[in-house]
Amino acid sequence: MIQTTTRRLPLLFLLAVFFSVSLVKADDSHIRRRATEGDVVNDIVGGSVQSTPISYFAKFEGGNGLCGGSLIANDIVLTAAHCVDSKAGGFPPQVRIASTTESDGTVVDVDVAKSIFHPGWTGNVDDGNDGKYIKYLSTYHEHRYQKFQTS
Amino acid sequence: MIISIVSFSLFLNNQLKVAILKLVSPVANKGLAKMNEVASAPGDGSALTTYGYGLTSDKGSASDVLKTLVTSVQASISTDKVIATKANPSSESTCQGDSGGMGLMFIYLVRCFYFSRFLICPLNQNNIDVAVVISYAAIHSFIHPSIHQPM
Repeated sequence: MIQTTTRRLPLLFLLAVFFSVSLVKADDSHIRRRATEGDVVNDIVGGSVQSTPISYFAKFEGGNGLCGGSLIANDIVLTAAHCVDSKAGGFPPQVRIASTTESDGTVVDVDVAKSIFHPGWTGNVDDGNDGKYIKYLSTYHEHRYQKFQTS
Repeated sequence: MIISIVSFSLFLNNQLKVAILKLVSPVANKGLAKMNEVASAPGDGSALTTYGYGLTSDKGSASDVLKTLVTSVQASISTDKVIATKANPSSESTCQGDSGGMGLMFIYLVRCFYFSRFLICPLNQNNIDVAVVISYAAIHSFIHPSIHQPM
C-alpha cells in the first residue's frame, strides 16, 4: 500500500502542477486581457470614446462612488436611486455636467439642493427581481430564469 | 434630443429605482435629455447604447472621458421586469460608475468576481448587465410633480 502510494506520488505531483499552472494561466490571461483593454481604450470596459458632446450628461461622486445622470430640466438631474440614497451617503453636494470630458471647457458644476426618490423606491437594490436575478446567475440558465420569474 | 434610457409602457414595475436631484441653480445653455418612449419590449439583439465615466477595467480606474458602448438585448434571459444586455465582443462591458447614466438607469453589474486569486465568471458570460426597465408614464408622473415642488 505504502509502496503503491509512493510510486504514485510523482504522478500526483505532476497532476497537481499541471492543474495549478492551468488555473494560474487562465486566470492570468483574463486579468491581462482586461488590464490591457483598460489601458488602451480607457473606458467603460471596451466601447469607444463618445466624440459628439452630450450636453445633458451629468456625473457625480456620491458616497457609493461614481454615478451618471441625465439633465432633464434646467435644474433637475435624473439618476438611479441607489446612487443617492442614504446607503450611498445621501445626495452629492454637486453634480458636474460633463459633456465629453472632465475639462473640455463646457464643464459646469452645480450644487445639489436635495434628492427626491420615486415612491416605489424601498432603499434596497435587492428588494426586487433584479437582485435575485444576480444571485442566481451562477446557476444554469433555466434555473435562474425560473428563480427570476418567481421571486 | 433622444437618449437611450430604456422606457416602455409594457413594463410597469412598482419598484422604480429612480431619483432626481434638484439643483440649487438652473444650468443654462445645455440641451436637455428626453426619454425615448416606445410601445413594446425590445427584441432579442436590440441595441441598448450606454454611456458613462465608469471604471475602465475590473478594479480599474474611472475614465476621464465620456465613453459609450452598444450592448444588445438578450431576450432569452430577460423577463417582464428586467432586460439583460450583453456587449459584443464579450470582453467589453459597462462597469461600476456607469450606473444612473443614460441607458443604465438601473444597471446592476453581473460580471466576474474574485474568489481568492481566481477570477470567477458566471456561465462564462462575463459581460452581462441587467437593466430594470422603467415605464415612461410612471417616470413622467413622478418627475413632473417633483419638478414643481417648492424648495
